[in-house]
Amino acid sequence: MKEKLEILLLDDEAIVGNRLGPAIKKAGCNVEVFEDPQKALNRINEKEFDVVVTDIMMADVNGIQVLEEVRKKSDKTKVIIITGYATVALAREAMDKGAFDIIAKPFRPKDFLAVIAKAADSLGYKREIVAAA
Amino acid sequence: MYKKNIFQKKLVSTTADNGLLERPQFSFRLHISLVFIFFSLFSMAIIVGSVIAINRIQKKLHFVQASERYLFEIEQARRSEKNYFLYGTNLENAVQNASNAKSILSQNLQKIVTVLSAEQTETIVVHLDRYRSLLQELMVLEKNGIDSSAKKSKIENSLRKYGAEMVKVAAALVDKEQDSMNAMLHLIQRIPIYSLVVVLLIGLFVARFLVQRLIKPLKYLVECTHRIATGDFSPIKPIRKYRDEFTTVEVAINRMLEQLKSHEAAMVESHKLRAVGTLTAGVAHELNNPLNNIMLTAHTMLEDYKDLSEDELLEMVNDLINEADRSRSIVRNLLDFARESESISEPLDLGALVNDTIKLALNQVKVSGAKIETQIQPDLPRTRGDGQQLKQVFLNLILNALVTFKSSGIVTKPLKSQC
Amino acid sequence: MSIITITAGSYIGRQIAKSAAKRLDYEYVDSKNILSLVSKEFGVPESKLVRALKEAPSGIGMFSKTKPEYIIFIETLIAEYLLKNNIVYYGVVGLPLIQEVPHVLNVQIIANLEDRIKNRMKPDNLSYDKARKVIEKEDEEQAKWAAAVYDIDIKNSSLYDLVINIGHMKDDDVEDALETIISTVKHKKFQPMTYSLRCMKNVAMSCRVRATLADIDSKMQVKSDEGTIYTYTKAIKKKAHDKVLEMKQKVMRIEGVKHIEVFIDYDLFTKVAHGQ
Repeated sequence: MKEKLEILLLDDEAIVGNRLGPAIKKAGCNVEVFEDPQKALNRINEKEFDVVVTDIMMADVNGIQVLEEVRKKSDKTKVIIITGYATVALAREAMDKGAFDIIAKPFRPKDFLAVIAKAADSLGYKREIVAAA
Repeated sequence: MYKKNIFQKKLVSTTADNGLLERPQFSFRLHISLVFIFFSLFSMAIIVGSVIAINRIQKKLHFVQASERYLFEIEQARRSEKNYFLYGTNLENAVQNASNAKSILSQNLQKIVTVLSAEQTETIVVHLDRYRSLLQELMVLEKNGIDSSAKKSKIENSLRKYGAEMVKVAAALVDKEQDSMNAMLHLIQRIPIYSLVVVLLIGLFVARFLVQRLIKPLKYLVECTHRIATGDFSPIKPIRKYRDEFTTVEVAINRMLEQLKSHEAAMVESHKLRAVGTLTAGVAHELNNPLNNIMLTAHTMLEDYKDLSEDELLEMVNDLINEADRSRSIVRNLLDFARESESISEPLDLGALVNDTIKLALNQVKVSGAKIETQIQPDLPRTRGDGQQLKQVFLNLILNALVTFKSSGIVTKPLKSQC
Repeated sequence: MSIITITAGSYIGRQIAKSAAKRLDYEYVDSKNILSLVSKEFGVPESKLVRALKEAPSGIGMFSKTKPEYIIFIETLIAEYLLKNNIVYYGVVGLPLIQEVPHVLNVQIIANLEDRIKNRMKPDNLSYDKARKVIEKEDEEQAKWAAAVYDIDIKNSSLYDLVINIGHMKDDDVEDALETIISTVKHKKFQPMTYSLRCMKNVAMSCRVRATLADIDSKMQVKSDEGTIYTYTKAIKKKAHDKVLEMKQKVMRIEGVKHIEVFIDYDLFTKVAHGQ
C-alpha cells in the first residue's frame, strides 16, 4: 500500500485550490491542484489517483462528466463532489454515477478532511488524516 | 336565504353602478310585451268587431227579408184588391195576404220601432189594421150578398188610400234597410284594408324602435369592449334615459373591470415576484462559491496564522475582501433589478443592458447547461428607453428560452441596430 | 444506510413496511408507535396525540381540541429518529419535511379497492358495503388531514420516488413489492452522503426548534443550516424585544445550535420587490 494518499483537486475557483491544497498536504496526503477541467482530465488519464475531488459547475466540462470519466478509468478511485449548487436531483445523479460522497459548499476545511478520511478508510488506509488542530 | 340575497345585492352595488341603475326601468321584455299586447288587442278588436258586424248584418238581412216579405204581401193584397174591384174575385186572397202582412208586422214590430220612430210604426200598424177592417167589411158585404156600389166605392177609395200609403211606407222601409245593409257591408269591406294599413305602419314603426333598442346598445357595448381591450378600464357610463336588460350586462362588465383593475396591479407585481423568486434561488447558489472561499480562507488563517508568512496572510486578507466584494455585486445585481422604480426613459447602452441581464440569470444558465453567445454590434447608438422594464423583458426572454432548452445548444442573442 | 418511508391507504402498506424492515434489518417506526415517546418528552397525553393524527387542527384555536403543536412534536421525534438511518417509516406525518433529503426513499403503495374491501371485511366481520364505507371514510379523512396540515394531495404520485401498485394482494404481489423496495433502496442513488446527512440534520434541528418555540408561535417557519437557525414569525409584534430574547435563549439551549436569527413579520420577496 502506498504511503500517502494520492488526491486530485479540481475547482475553477483558484482560492479553493490555494487553501485546500496546503491543508490536504498538511494532513499527510499528496495533492495535485487543477483549475482547468480539461487539463485535469488529461492528468487523470496519465495517473491513477486514489481520490478525485471535483466541483460540478465549471465552464466547458461539467463535474459530472469528470466523474464519469474517472469511473470509466478506474473503479477504485473515490470521487468526491464539492458543489455550491446542491439539489436532490443532482445529488442522486452523482451517487448514481458512482460518486463516493457529496459535500455542499460552503464547508469547513475540517469537514472536508473528514470526508477525505472516510475515503481513505474505505481504501484501507489507516486513519492518519487528521485536520490540523 | 332570502335575506342573504338582498344583503348580497346591496353589498355589490357600487358608484359605477349608480349611474346605470338610477334610471327608470324600461326593460326590453316589457317593451316587447307591450307591443305584443297591443297587437293582440288590436287583432281581438278586429275579430270581435267583425263578429259583431257580421252578426248585425245577419240581423239586418233577416229584417230586410222580413220587410220585403211584408211589402210583397201588401202588394199582393193590393193586387187581389184591384182584381176584386175589377173582376169581383180574389177577395179572400186579399184578406189572406193582409193577414200575412199583419203577422209579419207583429213579429217584427220591435225591430221596426228601432228603424222608424214609434209614431211611424204606430201609423203603419194603424193603417194596416184599417185596411184589414175595410177588407173585412167587404167580406161581410160579399157574404151577405149586398151589392151596394156606393158603399163599395167608398171602401175602395179608403182601401186605395191606405193601401197606397202602406205600400209607400213598406217600400220606403225596404229601401232604407237595404241601403243601410249596403252601407254596413261597405264598411266591413273597408275595415280589413284599413287595419292592414294601420298594422303595417305601426309594425314598421315598432320594428324600427325595437331595432334601435337592440342595435344601439349593442353598438355601444362593442365600442366599450374595444376600448377595454386597449387597456382602458374606466367604467361604462349610462347614455340612455332608461335601463333594461343591457344595463345588467353593463353593470356586470363594470364590476369585472373593477376586478381587472385590482388584479392588473397584483399581476404585474406577481410577475415580478416570480422573476425575483427564480433569480433569488440562483443568486443563493452563486453566493455559495464566494462564501466557501471566505470560509476556507478564514479557517486557514485561524488554524495556521502562526505558520503563515506576512505575505501569505496579506494575500488571504485580500482574498477575503475580494470575495466579499464579489458577493456584494452578485446580490446588488438582483436588488437593483427587484427594486421598483418609476418608469424613466433615458438613453441606454443596450449592449451593457443585455450583458447585465445575462449576469442576473447566470445561475439559471449554468444549471441548464446552456451557453449564451452574444453578438452585439460594436457601435450601437444609445437608445431611449426604460432600463428596468427592458431588463425585465430581456430576462423573461432568457429565462423562457432556457426552460425549453436541451443541454447542448446555444442561445444566441444578436443585438443590432434597426432603423 | 437509508431510510424508507411508505405511505399507503391500506393496512397492507403497514404489513409491507414491517416486512421490509425485517428483511433489511432496519428499525420499523410509524407515527403510532412513536406516540408514547412523544407523550413522555412533551408531556401531552397519548389520547390527544392520537386525535391530532386523525383530526386536522382547525383555525378556531379555542374550540379545536387538537392543537397544531401536537403535530410538531410528533414530527420532531420522527425526524430525530430518522437521523439514525436504516429506518423504515410508515406514515404521512412529516412527509413534506423529508422530501428534500436525497437518501430518503419515498414509497407509495396503491392497493386495489376491491381487495382492500375484502380484507377489511374479515377481521371485524363487516358486510361488503360497510367495509367499503369504512375504507372510503378512512381514505377521505386521511386525504383531508394531509391537505389541511401540509396542503398536499397524498394521492399524487409525483410526491414519491417509487410507486407500487399491488394488484390483488396475493402473496406473490406482496413479495414482488418487497423485492422492488429492497432492491431500490440498495441502489447507489439512495445511499447517504455528507450532503444528505447534513440535510437530514438540518431538518431534525428545524423540527426541534419549532417544537421548542411552539408555545410562542405554532406557525413559525424555521430553517436550519449547520447550527445556524433562521426563524420567521408573524405572531410577535415588531417591538416585542422581550419575546425575541426569550426565543433566542430557549433556542440557544438546544444542542447543536450555534446562532439564531429572528425575523418578525418578514416576507422577504415582497420586501425586495418593493425595493425596501
